[in-house]
Amino acid sequence: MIANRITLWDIAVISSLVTLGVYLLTSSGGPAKTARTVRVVSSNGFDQTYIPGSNTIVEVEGRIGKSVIEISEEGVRFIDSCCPNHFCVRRGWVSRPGDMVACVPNGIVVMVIGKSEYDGITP
Amino acid sequence: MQRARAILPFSIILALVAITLLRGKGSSEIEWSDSFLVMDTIAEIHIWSDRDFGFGSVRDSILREMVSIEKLLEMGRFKVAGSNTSNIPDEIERLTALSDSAYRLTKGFFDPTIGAVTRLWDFSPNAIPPHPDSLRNALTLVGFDRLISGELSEGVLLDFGGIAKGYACDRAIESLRRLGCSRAIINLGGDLSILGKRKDGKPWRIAIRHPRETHSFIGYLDVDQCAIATSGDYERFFIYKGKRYHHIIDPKDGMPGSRCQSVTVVAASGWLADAMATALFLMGPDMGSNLVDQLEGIDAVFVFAEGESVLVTDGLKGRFTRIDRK
Repeated sequence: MIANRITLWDIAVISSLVTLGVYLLTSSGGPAKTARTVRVVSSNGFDQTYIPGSNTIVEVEGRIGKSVIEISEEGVRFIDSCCPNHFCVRRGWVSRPGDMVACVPNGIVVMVIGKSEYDGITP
Repeated sequence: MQRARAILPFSIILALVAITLLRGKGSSEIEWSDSFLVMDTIAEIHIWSDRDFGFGSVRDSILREMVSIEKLLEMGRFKVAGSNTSNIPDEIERLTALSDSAYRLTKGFFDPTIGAVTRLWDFSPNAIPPHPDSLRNALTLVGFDRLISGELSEGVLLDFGGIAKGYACDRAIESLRRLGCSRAIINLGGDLSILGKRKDGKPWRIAIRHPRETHSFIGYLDVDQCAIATSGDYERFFIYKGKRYHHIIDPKDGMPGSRCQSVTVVAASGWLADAMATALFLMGPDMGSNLVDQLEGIDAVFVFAEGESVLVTDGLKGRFTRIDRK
């Protein structure tokens, strides 16, 4: 009986509706996107974006010397810098979209970019 | 009947496609952001707009303005009271006037004449506190009211560090507003100025960093257009003989404040939020919340020195959500 009612057209229509529904849910109003990238910017003009994954060590020349930055699945951190106080190294890993660490004396900023549930972070 | 059955699903699909396209059209707002180093911190600009009014040049203009404030601060830091005041830049005069208001509002807990004291402190990892005699001598040069009355003269160092970032945010927001921008967030090292409302009508959600767990937030605020500033003991500090020494220095005794871990202030303007965050941090939750209760348009979230307790003033009740540790 049921076999008589469902045609190939019906299957095609249902598939299309399901596909469209999934698209509508995920295009906006769906769960927050968690894809992250890490951007490293230096006042010397260095500007690169990385996808956190396997461990990457980046050496960046800044205003007063070299800073060493590690990017991994955990996020991004300064592991060494030529600055006097090492506030940047002491900050450790940052991983949430919107998080940033700067080595101000050396003019280098690292930031995690991605969809965040917050519009801003203080401080 | 058979035909109607075939047409109906296609009509539904067409309607859904149309809705999708219209949704896309409606959400064509441009989201633009950029960041740069200035004033010893990171500046972030986020703009939401239906049109590109030259974001790159807006960024350059905001950066130029912040750099000029930074340069003036360097001048202000070494300005000696009693010297020729005829060539003081207007910007420094404006900052001095705003500092005067903040000094009076906070009963002297915000005091820009603290420069002679703050320059004695170094917050590198192996630093030690300044000698008590040096602090005592430097404290004789602190007192905004005595500066204004002319009682203090040679040796006074102005330090606008507790107000300048908020002021710079205000200037940036003013520039954006002049250009017709109606939705933006400026974040200058944790001082946020928010212009307008979110497009979806919901409040802006701003996370407050946990003072002791760098990867966590202690809570979040749901706010509309306002300025937000946080003062905390966790960004620039050193530990000496088991005690934490941080950069928020009390003008009364020259030592770091010890009554809070952090204070977040919500106010109408950046300079006020910035100055109040410093002062309320030094006052602590009891004295600070009493002051907030007397002031209109200022509210705060205090994280106690002990760390687990949070005090939220009346205007933020229902707008602050504590995030429990997992």
